[in-house]
Amino acid sequence: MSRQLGFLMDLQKCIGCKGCAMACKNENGLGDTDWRRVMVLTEHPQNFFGFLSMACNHCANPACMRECPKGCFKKRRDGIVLHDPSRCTGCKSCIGACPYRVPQFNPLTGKVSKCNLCFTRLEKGLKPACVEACIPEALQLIDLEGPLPENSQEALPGYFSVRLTRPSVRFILPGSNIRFWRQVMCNQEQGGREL
Amino acid sequence: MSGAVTVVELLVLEPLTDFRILAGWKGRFNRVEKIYAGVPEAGRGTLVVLPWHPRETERTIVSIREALKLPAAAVFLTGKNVVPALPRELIAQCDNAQIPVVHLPWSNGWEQIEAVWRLVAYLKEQRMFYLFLQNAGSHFVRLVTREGLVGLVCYLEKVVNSPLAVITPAFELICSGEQKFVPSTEEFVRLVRQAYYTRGNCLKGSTRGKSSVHVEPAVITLQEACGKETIASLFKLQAGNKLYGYLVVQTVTGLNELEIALMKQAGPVITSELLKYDEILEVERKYQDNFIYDLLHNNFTSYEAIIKQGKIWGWDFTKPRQIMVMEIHGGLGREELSFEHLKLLISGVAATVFKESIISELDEKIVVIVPAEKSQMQKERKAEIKRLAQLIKQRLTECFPESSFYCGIGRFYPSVMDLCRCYQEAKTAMELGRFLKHKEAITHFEELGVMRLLAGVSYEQLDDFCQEYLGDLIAYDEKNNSNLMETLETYLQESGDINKTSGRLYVHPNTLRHRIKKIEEILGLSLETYENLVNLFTALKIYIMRQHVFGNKLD
Repeated sequence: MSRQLGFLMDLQKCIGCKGCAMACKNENGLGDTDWRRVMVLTEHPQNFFGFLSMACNHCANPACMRECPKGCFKKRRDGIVLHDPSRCTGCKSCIGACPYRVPQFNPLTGKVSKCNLCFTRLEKGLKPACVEACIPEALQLIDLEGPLPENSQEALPGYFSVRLTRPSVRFILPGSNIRFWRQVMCNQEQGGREL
Repeated sequence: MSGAVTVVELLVLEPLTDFRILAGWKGRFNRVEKIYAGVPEAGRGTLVVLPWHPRETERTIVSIREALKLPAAAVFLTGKNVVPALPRELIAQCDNAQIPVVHLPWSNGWEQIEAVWRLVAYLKEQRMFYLFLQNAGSHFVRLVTREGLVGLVCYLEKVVNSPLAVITPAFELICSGEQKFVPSTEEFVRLVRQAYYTRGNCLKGSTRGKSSVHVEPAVITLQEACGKETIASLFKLQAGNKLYGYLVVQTVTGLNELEIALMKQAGPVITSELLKYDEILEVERKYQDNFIYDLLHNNFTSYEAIIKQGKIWGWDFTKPRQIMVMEIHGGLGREELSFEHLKLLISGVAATVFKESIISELDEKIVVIVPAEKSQMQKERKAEIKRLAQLIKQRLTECFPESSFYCGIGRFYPSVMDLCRCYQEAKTAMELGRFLKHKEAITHFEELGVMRLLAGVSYEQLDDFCQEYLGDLIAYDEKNNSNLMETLETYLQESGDINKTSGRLYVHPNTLRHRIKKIEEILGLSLETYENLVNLFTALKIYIMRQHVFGNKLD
């Protein structure tokens, strides 16, 4: 296989607007199901306050594929892991198996569904809906077989380090925080203007 | 001796065929009346032979200009050094004068060029030149075209009266002739392989006479089990930088000059055949690799599609299959072998256990797909595939003693549509087995034991379970910088044997007993009841799994 598509998540840029999650819902007509979720990060070792947007990680060793008794999951040559709802019986084995809780059970249909990396959009030369909608460009589509940003890494300490399934996602960790209010206080003390 | 020999007639005959035209090729039909080393004072129709050296460029250019004035029939620059481009105006002059300037990359003297000139003149006189030219070196090509590589090998065997074989760079047999090696073809190839990997660098030069990278053949003296000595002469089959294999001859006293020359003449023909096979294999391999990827990742929509496509490569997918995934780390020896060579090695071993096995490379791991009998007992099926894994491990350890080898085996599924699950299980078994089974490199998915069940349980539940049973002990270790967790792990791995555990931990048995008591006190559990042991053992496995395989916990 020559490609492994995945996501690059720049935690410095994500402002938690949930534009990616809304775009995904809109594109795929999801109703109450969430294929992409935005979480608040509060336990980063550097005391960072930020956001993490997560959908399916299209793992190299998908646990869902291993556990599904009906063979609903397949992995394309570009690395995208797809779920076939026509075979799904709603047993939820994949939900339990997935370390990221990606597959979502829909009680109305009685089946599971998950992010498909907008493969139909990709075939038309478009970006996935979440990537397109991300205004600060915190979320990007990457090919893990190609060159990656130097400062990107596999693990997100405290949240993301599952080496067995080998998720196809990379992170750019946040730098240290900039305290604007302190700068203002210092300037005021010195008789300066408010910034 | 007369004979109007033209420049081009001289250059189309070996060993002058490897020439490079620098200028004036329109004059290739100039007659060569005589050959002179250097520039004579006068001599129309002289072939001027000048040795080429990068330090004497100016002098050589002056000599070429002088040769143009003669006018010479042609100018040959000899020497293994790379010839830089001649000045443009000199090239233009040679083109106008129609005097060929040619570079010959050899360091033999001009006398040999004269010898070739005399031969051509003689052949032309006898009206045999064109016949000679048509047939020179083409016998081997005709033989290969008519009878294949085996035909050529058999012919060479007859001429040298010794057994001959063509082997891969990984020392696996490609083809041999009719004569048998002593003690046997397989054993002989094995001895050569062993000699290569143990004595090392022996193929970089002959052990007799001049030792140089370019001396051929490489000669290895082999001592057989019965004490007899034979000599294996190896000729590299190389095109450019790529090695396609070796031509190996077994003799008692070594090859003489004529036999060596014959082997060297056949070498390029054999290499070209191997190149052709390689190109065909490469295309086939690409399609094959895509098919296997699709098969193992559930990309086929129907069972019939798999059967139909498998038939193209002669694979019968109507019968069930089992999968083994292998990873080899480091220590691959003096030469980095490609996956292709590893695959060849492994397929040789697999053939001794299973009639039809498929070897492929996916994601930098070797995947082995072997047939499985539905009617066979599960125990027998498992034993058979584990035996294959052991044999492969043995062979790889033999060839690469410094490498580490891990193997995972998936469960049996009756339908090929479930091969994707078997593949994922094999990978899981390999990953988990590496850390959970500290002595064993080969893990069947079923041997993961309770870990197999736990692989399907949610991480929160696993973490809660682990925290419940081991949380206090982990906290105690962190606070007091002790190693009670390690003690408990070793104690459970050694099934509660105090002596073995204390041996592994390098502590006195009484110290160990004290530690066990402390552990019981902290956990509030007795390590003598099976229920507690099972729970602790499971919690410990989860802990190890999280540490090594899953990294930090998720919230």
